[in-house]
Amino acid sequence: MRKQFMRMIYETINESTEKSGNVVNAQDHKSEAAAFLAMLQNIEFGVDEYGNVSLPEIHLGKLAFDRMFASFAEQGVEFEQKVEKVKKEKIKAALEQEKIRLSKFMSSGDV
Amino acid sequence: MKKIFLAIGCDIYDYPGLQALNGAQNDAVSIYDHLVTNDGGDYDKERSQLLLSPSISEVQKSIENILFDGDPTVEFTLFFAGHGAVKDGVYFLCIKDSQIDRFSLTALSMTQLFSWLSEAKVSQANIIIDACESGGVLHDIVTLLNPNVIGKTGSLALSILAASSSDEYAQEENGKGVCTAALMSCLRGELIVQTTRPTLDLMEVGKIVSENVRKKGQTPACWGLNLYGTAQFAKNPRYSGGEPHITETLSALTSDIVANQYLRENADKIWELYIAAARGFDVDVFLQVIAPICLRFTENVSISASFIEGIANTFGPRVRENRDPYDEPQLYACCAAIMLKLIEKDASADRITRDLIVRTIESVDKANITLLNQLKDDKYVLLSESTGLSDLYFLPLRLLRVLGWIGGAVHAANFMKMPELLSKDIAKEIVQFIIREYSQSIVAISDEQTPYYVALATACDIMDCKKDVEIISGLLFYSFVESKGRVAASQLTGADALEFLEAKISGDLSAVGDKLARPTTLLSALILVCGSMDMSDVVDPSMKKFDHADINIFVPSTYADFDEEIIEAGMNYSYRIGQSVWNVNDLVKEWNIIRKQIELDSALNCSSVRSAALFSSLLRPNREAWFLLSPI
Repeated sequence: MRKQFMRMIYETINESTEKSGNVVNAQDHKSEAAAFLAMLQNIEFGVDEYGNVSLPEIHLGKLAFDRMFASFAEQGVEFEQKVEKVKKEKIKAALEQEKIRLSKFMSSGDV
Repeated sequence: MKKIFLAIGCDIYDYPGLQALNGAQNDAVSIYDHLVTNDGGDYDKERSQLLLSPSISEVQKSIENILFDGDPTVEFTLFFAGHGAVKDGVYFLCIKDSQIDRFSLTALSMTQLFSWLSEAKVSQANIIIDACESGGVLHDIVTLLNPNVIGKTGSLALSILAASSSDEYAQEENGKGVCTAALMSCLRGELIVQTTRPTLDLMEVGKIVSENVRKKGQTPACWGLNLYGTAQFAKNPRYSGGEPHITETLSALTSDIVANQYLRENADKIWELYIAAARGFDVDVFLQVIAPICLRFTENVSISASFIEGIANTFGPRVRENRDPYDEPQLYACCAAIMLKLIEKDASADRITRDLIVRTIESVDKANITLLNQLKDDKYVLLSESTGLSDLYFLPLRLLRVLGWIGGAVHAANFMKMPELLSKDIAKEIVQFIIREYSQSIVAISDEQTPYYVALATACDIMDCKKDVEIISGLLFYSFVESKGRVAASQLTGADALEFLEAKISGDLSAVGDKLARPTTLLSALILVCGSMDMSDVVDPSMKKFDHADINIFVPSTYADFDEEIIEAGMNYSYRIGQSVWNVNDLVKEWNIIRKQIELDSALNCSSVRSAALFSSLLRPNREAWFLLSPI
């Protein structure tokens, strides 16, 4: 039952991303690490109800997980720096976006 | 003719301990003459019998002839006037040769009578007993002849009217029993029972007789369970539609063998429900038992209609004296809600549903009067009798429930174009009383409040109480803000409600996530109603407090299923505050799109569908009659 439910969730997410075109194909990149970086660049981070930026989650099967981390290990410091830079930019963008979102609420001073 | 009457009047008693009477035979003669000789009830003249001071063997022989010889008896009415007595918890009708020390052999026990009725498969039985108390033993006929004691007789339609006096002579007036005198007044039209149908049902006659006899110190038993619709005990001399007449022996239901068999198989469940109904009306159990039986006959909708009419006729008086005055309207509303699937299929279904809707409105009006009087006597009457703790959760629900039924009845009266059925002044007075005395408890606590709030708030223009609804909306909204948009899910159990309350008081609701309404419909309703009342200036500045709250509006694919426990098909319109909705206007825009979708459902053009769907939302408060909201 759980397996069926999970499959349904992934299928729904897949349909939705295919529809929006927000898809990164690993085969279009030199390595899994490069695909990961492209993926990171393609998404927006969210902000939870407590104002904390929520980082994206990665869901992988065991084989893909091993390959991904092996690919990370092959990368040097430069890759890590790139990831950190994208992350920082995304967090900043998320917080700015959150400010804009919150500004759409009328504050009590607006009355 | 399968309608048979047996009248027994016993003045003469042969054995010690049972003194002679002087009015019992007169009573038997007068009712027999009226119903049989003078055609007051279309009873079979050849098979009906009048027994004056008979022996027990004559009584047994007569009953045997009536019930077991010749064509099966469909309707059997027994009238008995004489002494009644109790022995070992069994009620006996005393006959001329009855002996106190051997009642089981020489008197007619009710247990024996019911066994015969069951064995003979009599479809409709009416029992009338006007008995004088015997032997100086005080007994309570109400207790002994109530359905809990008599239990399931196997009869699908049984009505009992029984009165007994503790003083054997005082209750005879001018040589007639007080109960029989009142009964005869009803049959002759001196007392009005009703004027709308050509026939009288013993239950409705019993109600008038009881009211009259109570004034003279007797407490009669009057109850009945009738699964065949309205029984036709006698012609109604006060019928306003022409000559009173018996239209048919019984409804179509009795002649349908398959339907009859199915009813007999389910009779136990209905009897249990009937017995339990006097302790408090349970909407969920009622719908669970009655709806499947009623809908079993959908190939012949008139059978379903007849069945549901019978249920309403017999359960109505049963719940009328319940502690909660809104039990009776809920009963009729349940019956109307069950008919939602059938209204559009058959004219008889629509007619019965309309009648049930009218009865719902009228009984809400009566409940309003009762409640207002109770509130004037004791302004805290709406508080729980047991513990104050439970009222922290249940009182806000109870208050909204009362207000919701008021609003619902006002709407239904408006849909049916019968505004005169309900006093708006009394309804308004209750609303204002609750605001005045219970304002601290008008708080948003559960999504269960939503359908009630929607029903009341949208009725404010008809009731001319916009200011009152503004106050209620304001109180609910601010308490919602205080709870940061978190209220309980609908229909929590008492234990879950306590857990929710404890978490709410502690300020940490994380442990009761499964008990929260996520998404909530109450917030959708509050925003939309406030929008419709130009209260955006009150709501918008606080919307930020609901940031990340999920709200929902559910619209069913068809209102035919709106009474079901789980509605399978429909559309959930879900929004997250702070994602697509930041203020009243944002949701109003979405609402106007949803509204157009709702308006496409042509079934809602029918006033009975509209009313029954509205009642469904009040009976099962996890769905809302959003169609009540106008375009904003």
